[in-house]
Amino acid sequence: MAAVAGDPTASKAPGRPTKIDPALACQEISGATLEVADFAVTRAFYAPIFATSGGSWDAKSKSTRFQAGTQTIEFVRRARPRSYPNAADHWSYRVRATALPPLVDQLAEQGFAPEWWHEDYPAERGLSAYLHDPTGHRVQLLPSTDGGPFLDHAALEQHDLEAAEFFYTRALGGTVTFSHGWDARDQLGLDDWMAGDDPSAPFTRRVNISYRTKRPAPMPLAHVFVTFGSTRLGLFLAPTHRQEPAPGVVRGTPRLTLRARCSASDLEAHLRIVNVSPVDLKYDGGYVQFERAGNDLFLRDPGGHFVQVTCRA
Amino acid sequence: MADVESLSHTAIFAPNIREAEAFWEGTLGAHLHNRISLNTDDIRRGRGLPHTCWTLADYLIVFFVPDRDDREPGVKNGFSHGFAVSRERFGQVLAMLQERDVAFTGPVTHPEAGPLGESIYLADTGGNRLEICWRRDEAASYSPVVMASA
Repeated sequence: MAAVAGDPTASKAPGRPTKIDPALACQEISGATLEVADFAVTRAFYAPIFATSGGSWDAKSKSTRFQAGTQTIEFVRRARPRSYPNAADHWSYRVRATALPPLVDQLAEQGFAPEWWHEDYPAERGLSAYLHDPTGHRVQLLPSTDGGPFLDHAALEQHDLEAAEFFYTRALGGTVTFSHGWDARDQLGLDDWMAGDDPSAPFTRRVNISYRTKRPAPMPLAHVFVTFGSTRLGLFLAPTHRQEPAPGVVRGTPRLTLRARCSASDLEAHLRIVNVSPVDLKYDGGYVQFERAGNDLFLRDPGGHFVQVTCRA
Repeated sequence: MADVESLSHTAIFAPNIREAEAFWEGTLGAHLHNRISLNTDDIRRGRGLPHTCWTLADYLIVFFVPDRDDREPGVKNGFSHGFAVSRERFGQVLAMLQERDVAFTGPVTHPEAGPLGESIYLADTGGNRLEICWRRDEAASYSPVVMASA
């Protein structure tokens, strides 16, 4: 099915929805599909991280996947795998708090020394370990004392935070549960960070060179968290533009996977008409680009990230 | 004399922009114009913290998070913004505010010889002072603003 795109020459279509029927909303982040260069090396890295998740591995010729509960991380082999090292993009896995120190020691011995940072989301204000996997995907090891989903959350960088928020809320039914950068209190501690005394994750802060004074000043780097059930997606404002896939391509990897309880036909009908534009357009635009394949819908978010929604059969 | 020609816009400190937007949109009926510093190009140009522009009737308002050196909300600057509604609408506004549990003082009745009829006073989420009034001269047509000639 062809991707849907607005026609800038068409007149504005009245009455298109800017909200989603709650029955169509995605229920959880159900996993990801990540490109890697080598399955054996990848599995050797992730096996100790996933060890306490109670899941299992399934190896095939073209992919290797780990499944625990309702979540699956699939690795697909590529000669030149795409990853976003040193961007805000990261995949956050829960690790039992007591198991984290020995796990980090083990990974460090294998050559994957972590950075210890904190973020601003309430559950992430303690230190977590951040490191890159052998391909360059950033991994967060989040100390956990409860039994939530093993993929706690994902984070994707966005060059238009407002557009991204409207995409994930209006089209896919997420709920904004946290914002950083909109509140005066978000500036507390910035001097400590500027002095190197506060281990905030680097993608949560920035140095602003004011267009007026031309002087550097620390500022929060705006981000929001959009919740899907017991999982959440972090949307971080990108400090620089990064190469995106070719325009119009909606099916690719790396890919975030969401699960919806509605039928693919019902969600498809919503995606065909929902208006996700942050601007009150005077033409018939603000459409979502997507393709349907059976019970799956493949989309591309405003930041160029691929998204798959698996609907019920 | 500066010979200013009109009020262009007002920048309002908002300790929390989302809360301010909800108040000005939900309670006062403002409409979103645009948001700034929520995209990569803006922050690369050094446009600072996120701030958002709204219109209320023909009035342009910009909400700013106070920066690190100016955390006190706008009250300290002493500005109070007065907005007019029709006399008929005034009673409906009072009822709406009461229904939403928005605190206000008044209504205060102004002198009959003056242009104002009644006013109420309230504060937004940043403590900025607002006045909503009806005018006794609401039927009078205003002289248009004459822009300076080149």
